[in-house]
Amino acid sequence: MRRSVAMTEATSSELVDHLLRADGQEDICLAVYRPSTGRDRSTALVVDMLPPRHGERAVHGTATVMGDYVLRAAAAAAESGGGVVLLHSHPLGSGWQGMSRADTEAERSYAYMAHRITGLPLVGMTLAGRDHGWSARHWEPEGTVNWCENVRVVGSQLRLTWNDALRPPPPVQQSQLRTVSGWGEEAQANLVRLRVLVVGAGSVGLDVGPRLAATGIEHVGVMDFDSVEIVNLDRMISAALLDALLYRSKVSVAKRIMAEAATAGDPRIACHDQSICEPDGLAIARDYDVVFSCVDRPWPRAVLNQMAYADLIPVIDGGLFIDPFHDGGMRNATWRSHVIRPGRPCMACNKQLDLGLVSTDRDGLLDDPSYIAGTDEGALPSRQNVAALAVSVTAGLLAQFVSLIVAPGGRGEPGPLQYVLSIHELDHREDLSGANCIVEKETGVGDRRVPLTGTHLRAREVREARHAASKRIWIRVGQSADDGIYRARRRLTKLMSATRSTAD
Amino acid sequence: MGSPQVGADGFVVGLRECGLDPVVEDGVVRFQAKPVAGAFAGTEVDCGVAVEELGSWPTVPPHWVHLPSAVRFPRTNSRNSPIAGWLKHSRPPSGWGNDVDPVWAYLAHVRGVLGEAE
Repeated sequence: MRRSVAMTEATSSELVDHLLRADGQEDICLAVYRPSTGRDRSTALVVDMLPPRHGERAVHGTATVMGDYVLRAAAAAAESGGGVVLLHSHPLGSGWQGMSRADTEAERSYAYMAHRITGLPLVGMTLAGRDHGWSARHWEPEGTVNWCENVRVVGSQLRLTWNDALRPPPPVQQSQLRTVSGWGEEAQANLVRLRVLVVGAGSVGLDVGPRLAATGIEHVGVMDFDSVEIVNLDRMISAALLDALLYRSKVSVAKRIMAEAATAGDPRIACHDQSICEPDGLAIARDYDVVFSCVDRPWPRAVLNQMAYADLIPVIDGGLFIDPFHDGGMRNATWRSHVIRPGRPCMACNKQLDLGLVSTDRDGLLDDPSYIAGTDEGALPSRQNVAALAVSVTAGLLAQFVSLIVAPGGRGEPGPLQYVLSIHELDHREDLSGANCIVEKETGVGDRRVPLTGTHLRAREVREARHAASKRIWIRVGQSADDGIYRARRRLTKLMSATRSTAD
Repeated sequence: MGSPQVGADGFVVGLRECGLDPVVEDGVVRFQAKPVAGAFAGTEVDCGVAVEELGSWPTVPPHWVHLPSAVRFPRTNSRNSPIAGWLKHSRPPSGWGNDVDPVWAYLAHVRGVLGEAE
């Protein structure tokens, strides 16, 4: 199990204000975290700082925490289903911080007590004063330390501090020189270590995934339960008629294209044949640092929308709306892009998700012709899509991603953007979070979220149909032949690369 | 521990806090609502919501409103209800997610639905 820590920029600022003293001495404090459990990663979401009361800590160049303070924090954490975070500062440090013997013993001495009271590991964190970088570890009750892979601070910029020992910066490849020249090696080293998931491998997702892989990101995942069908081919650029005829899953096609596009030295392209609406799908998504939402149905969008707040994983979302005249012709088209995260309005608040339709979608009624026939046309999600315009959504999402991670000019993501095709205008949307937003109230709740996932019957049916089709002899023969051609092409690439290296 | 706010239990507690007297029968939370318009204006009408539809309450509201067959609509998408002599009608609430009290918001939605009845 990998480990990580995440918090909002607001929480980080509050902690920094306390831990970095004007007199230059170290300081210490406690906080509450809530667990967010993925399939392969456990994240501590730091949510509430508990400032020390008089006499609960001593500052003497370094800083010491008193047992009563830890007890008070553990009781507060247990009451809210959370765990304890013990934080201290290294005012002169920068980047990921190691631990002195004294710091190690101090944290270890409280690991058992914190676990005994809360049932969760003690989390230790260190703040580096020079660059406000965070480092973190999870303590087992018997005193074993598990270092985190990174610490993520979610604001207009996703600010990460990396544990280079666990996630060293990968070497820049010759094929990435133009990319690196665009934003420098430091930004590249940060960006390519992210674990990025694309949910939905349709018109937008199938375009986003290969561009992430081409940028050099090592761990890119794609999630979709659906199969390639002939009716998809006018939007799924790079999917071929043969893929539809061979009953290929969308993720297998995406993986092939992404592997071909990848420039990382050791790319790990993961394909997840799940729905984000299934518990397994959501658990997988919680293993990633950033998620692209390339789905249009209310149920998966609701799950991603909730995850952005509950698990502090930024979700980059967008969409295309085409407004045709009833008698033919196009009145207008608009496309939007936005980062869904604490501090920005959720999809429901910015009117990109109707929570009222989620249970309808979950019941499978949006695919039920008899239900659709009995419903007002305007009450259902629109289905129009055009490949020539979907690429603009792709561009919008990727620009939001670059702004969130690289922050050109020191500015992070810009908030919701909308392009209006008929008048060719780009608008900064003024949508605000609702005062009582039911989704944003769940910020940082992690595993204690309202459950939105469940059995996704359509996903199950599609997978079973694909499995049944792949048992037919001519489909098996066709898939084997297609796989053989692909493998031969990959081998040829490796052979030519080796030949060129030798010749050079 | 405070009152449960989520799931079917949270919904039932919320109805009680609104002064209603809900009961759970045949997997349906039954309660009464009084519309201010339509054929049943001013009348207490029996209503219901399936327990299995309340798993994601209050983030996701149920869309099926279970009603006695005597409550008819000029246009509806209905299916059989587990309660004998009732039908469930699909009525997704619009603009969900920003109300101070989700139960009050849902009751207002149900009253609005009943206001369309013939």
